[in-house]
Amino acid sequence: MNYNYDYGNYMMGYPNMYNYDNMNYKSNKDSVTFMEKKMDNNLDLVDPYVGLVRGNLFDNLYDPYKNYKARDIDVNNERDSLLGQIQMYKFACTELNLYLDVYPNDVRALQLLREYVKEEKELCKEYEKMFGPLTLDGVNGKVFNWIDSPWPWEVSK
Amino acid sequence: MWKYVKALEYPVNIKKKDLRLAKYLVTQYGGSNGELAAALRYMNQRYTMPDDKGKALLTDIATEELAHVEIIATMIYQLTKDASVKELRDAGFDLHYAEHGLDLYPTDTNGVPFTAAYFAAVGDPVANLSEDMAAEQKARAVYENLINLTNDPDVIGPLLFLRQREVIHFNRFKALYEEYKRKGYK
Repeated sequence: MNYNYDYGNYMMGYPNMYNYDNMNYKSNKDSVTFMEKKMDNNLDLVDPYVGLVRGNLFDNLYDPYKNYKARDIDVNNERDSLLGQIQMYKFACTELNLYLDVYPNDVRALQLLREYVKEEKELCKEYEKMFGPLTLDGVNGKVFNWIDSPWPWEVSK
Repeated sequence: MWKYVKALEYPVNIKKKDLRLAKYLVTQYGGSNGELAAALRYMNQRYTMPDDKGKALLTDIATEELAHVEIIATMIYQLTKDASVKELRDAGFDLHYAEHGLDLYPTDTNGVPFTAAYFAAVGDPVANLSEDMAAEQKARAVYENLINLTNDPDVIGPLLFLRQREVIHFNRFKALYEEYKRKGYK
């Protein structure tokens, strides 16, 4: 079975988002970080968006199942879109965290982790201003908006 | 200490009710190779890891597994939400419903409840890590079985993500296992 997914629907109107190009998994992000990545044996990375949709930031460890392809994240509204960006940086941080647990002396991975943590924090602030808290630290405004739906298990419309 | 983030690790938006599929997926919630077993297995083994790398890796993978428990539970919730009694009967989900209603409950596909017997701790880090590597491989295989049982892209997306996480976790455990073997940790 071969499912052809629609790759075009992600992050419409968000100029900073990556385009996930099925024919070219490697990032088109023009940054020193990604140019340097090839210099390390174990640190063969894809960009955070490709990492999230694949479930794997490490190109050398990517192990697709049959001919299933990674699928674009489902985005139904502005909230999903911003949350999707947070999810991709959080995921990249998780990946680098697990990698650094085993290879703690890899300074390039550490530098990248710091970069992604910073991006993620900024996006969280922006999200919390618009859509309410992600953690208790983000509770803002006059009412206790932590309790507000949607909770993570609810379908986004 | 843990801190809750009001977001899934990977988004789940299943639009189509499918009770039969929920019956299969529940095994990755409460079955022997499921996410709950993985989270508790690593969380429990981390205390006696012989070095800092081991303590960190077991803690961090256990933490990620908790996020996977949430993803699987979310999928089951969305697949079963608002099911009618007729739909429940037709799909054979009535057995679950009789006891639990539409609440979630961690079991395997046969309804056997989750048990701590699903994981071991034998006081030997090399043996424990071998178990962890096997657990990741078994979970990967179960995810492949589950992917084979559906053609709903909203379900396949998160299952592919979760499957790939097993691949990464296996590789991280393997690297640590090989290092411990070299160092002769017992």
